[in-house]
Amino acid sequence: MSRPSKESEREGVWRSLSEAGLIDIAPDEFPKRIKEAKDVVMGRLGKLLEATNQVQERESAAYSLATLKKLERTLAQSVKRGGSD
Amino acid sequence: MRPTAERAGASASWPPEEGRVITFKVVNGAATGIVKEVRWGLVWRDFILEDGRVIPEHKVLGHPEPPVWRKAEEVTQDEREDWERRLVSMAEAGLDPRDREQSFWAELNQYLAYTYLRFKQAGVKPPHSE
Repeated sequence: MSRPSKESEREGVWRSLSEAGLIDIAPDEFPKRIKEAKDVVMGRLGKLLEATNQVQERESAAYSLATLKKLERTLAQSVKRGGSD
Repeated sequence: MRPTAERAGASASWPPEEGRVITFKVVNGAATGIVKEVRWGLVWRDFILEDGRVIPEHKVLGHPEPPVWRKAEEVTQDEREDWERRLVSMAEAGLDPRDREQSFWAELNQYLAYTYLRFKQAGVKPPHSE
């Protein structure tokens, strides 16, 4: 079995983050990136709900989803407040 | 905290010590600042400057290439939950994540990267990739 070298694993992670636009998020892109992160977590949560084990992972995903929703809602409200000044 | 990445290829003087001046990329060029602290976040290291700015390691000139990072599974549940609580309280306090180089921007950026790495499934393309 061959394993990727540490170096190529590192490159792979950075490439993946870069493609997802998550390395240096432009200030106005946060709402979009939060929505995309929610989609990723919801996709994973859907899979985890089909499994009978992995309860802790399921709880972590649900907790992260709740955090992202809270952040999304709070930031949207503050943008609205900022816009109405 | 155990970083995944090893320091292959990085010089022995990396990361710069407290009190050293670093140069980092900004939107329209480069800027400098004095290092107060270097600390691991959920994915990468942040350089905290004496004036309070937070600079991700990969924006600092001279960083190892590719940059070092932590595996999502190395982040403990307590660490993640503390990070989430901090983010929510910064959002509720009305901090604006659009203030680049401030804590909220830096922590939200890392949290989204961590969440993506942790929950994305193998073979699934990033949402807006070709």
